[in-house]
Amino acid sequence: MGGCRVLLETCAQCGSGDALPRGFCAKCGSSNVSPREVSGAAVVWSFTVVHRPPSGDCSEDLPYGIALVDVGYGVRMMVRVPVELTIGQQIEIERTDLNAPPKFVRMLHSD
Amino acid sequence: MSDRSFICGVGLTPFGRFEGSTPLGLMTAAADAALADAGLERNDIGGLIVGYATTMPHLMLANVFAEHYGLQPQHAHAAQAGGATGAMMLVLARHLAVAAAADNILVVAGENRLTGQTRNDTVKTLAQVGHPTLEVPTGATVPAYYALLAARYLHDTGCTERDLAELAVLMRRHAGAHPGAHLRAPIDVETVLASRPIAPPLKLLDCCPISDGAAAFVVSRNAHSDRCLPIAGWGEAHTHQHISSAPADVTCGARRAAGQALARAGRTIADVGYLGIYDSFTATVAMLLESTGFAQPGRAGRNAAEGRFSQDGQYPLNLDGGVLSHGHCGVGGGMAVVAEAMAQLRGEAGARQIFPAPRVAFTHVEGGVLSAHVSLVLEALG
Repeated sequence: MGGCRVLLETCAQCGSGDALPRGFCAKCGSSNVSPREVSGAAVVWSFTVVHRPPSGDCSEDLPYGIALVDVGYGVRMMVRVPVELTIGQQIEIERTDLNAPPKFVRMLHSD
Repeated sequence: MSDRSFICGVGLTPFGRFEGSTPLGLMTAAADAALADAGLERNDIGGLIVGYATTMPHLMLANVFAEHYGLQPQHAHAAQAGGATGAMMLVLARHLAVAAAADNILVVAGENRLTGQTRNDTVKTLAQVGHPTLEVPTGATVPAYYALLAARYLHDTGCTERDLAELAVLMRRHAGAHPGAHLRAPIDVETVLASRPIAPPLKLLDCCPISDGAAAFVVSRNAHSDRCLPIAGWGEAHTHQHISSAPADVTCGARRAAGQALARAGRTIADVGYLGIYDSFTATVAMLLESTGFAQPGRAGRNAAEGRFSQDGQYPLNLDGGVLSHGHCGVGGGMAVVAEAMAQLRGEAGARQIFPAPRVAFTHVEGGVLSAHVSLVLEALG
């Protein structure tokens, strides 16, 4: 397992996790939430490659991969990834900012 | 109090590239056509609901249109639910009619989405349906959001890109019989598969075009003629906004909305003689056909190839060409899906007409990334 961590907001009341820092739990409404790190090992739920960018800002990166990945607490997040990836693959990601997407770190070997 | 309501008028401009067109001009043309179709005058309109226009962002678009068009309705508001807006406005108009808040409600939307802004601006604007801090910064686009759904759908069901291509081919064939369709030149499966990648598995011809155009309906408390169509059932489901936050069963909203609409109409899918299903991408219509029960999981594309969704098939689908080929001007694109259902139920679809005319039509549109769902069951009168 990789050593990178992913920062989430978690609820002490119902035990759910959230990618977004709402300051309350969207599942149970509790305000007893706090930041918590989980493992950076993520499973690719789906994957695509952007060939047509949303704006000129991203043109120089083309093509680039976009994945939806699952981490702890059942949280799914979008992440920019390399263009070669498959559904079900494990990757390592890192996230230190609750107001930004995680960053891709490396491929992990699938079991 | 009667809970009956009727769509009494429909108006549709041609969809395509119309240099110099404006949102208000397009909406006016569609509204004129809908009023004429309903046999009503401007002063018969007591309620107005206007769909948003990306080329004309405004806080009060309904009042803007009312002033422009010469209406002083008792009720006016602008609505937005992405691609689901048109059908959602019909649901709202139905509620206004049933509540007797207005006798006749004009529902209208249109924009010069193709010529009124650059393609880059359109792609960038649409990408903002993604989450501003968690998704948009990755550089994803609307096709990419849908591609993520499509890739997972193919992975889970065994459906192939070739199967999806069949839906694009079918929609183009249907559009060939509609004089107002944006894209009418026939295509085949190989052409779809060879079209340039946008966001795999979606290629250019898996994606709807960006069009100029407008659509309008008149919803009324009373049927003025046998061309008025009862809104027999409606259903909505709003499960999420952002694809990262979608439920585990990503299409459950479609299933819920469809179930409600059919139940309210007292119908089952076996009663349905025409399907109008939103097809922003080939994968969209495949997933919606399957989640609403008109195809088995993973089978929609192959069913299309087998003729199930053709004019003479069990469930004729989007005989105007759908938004994939008839075109997509935003809110009006989703409305055109319903407009063709009306044409078919009335027996007025010309070369596209199903014989005998269907008695029951089911339509489903969605907005966002399978986020907002609206199903309608429309019936022939009598």
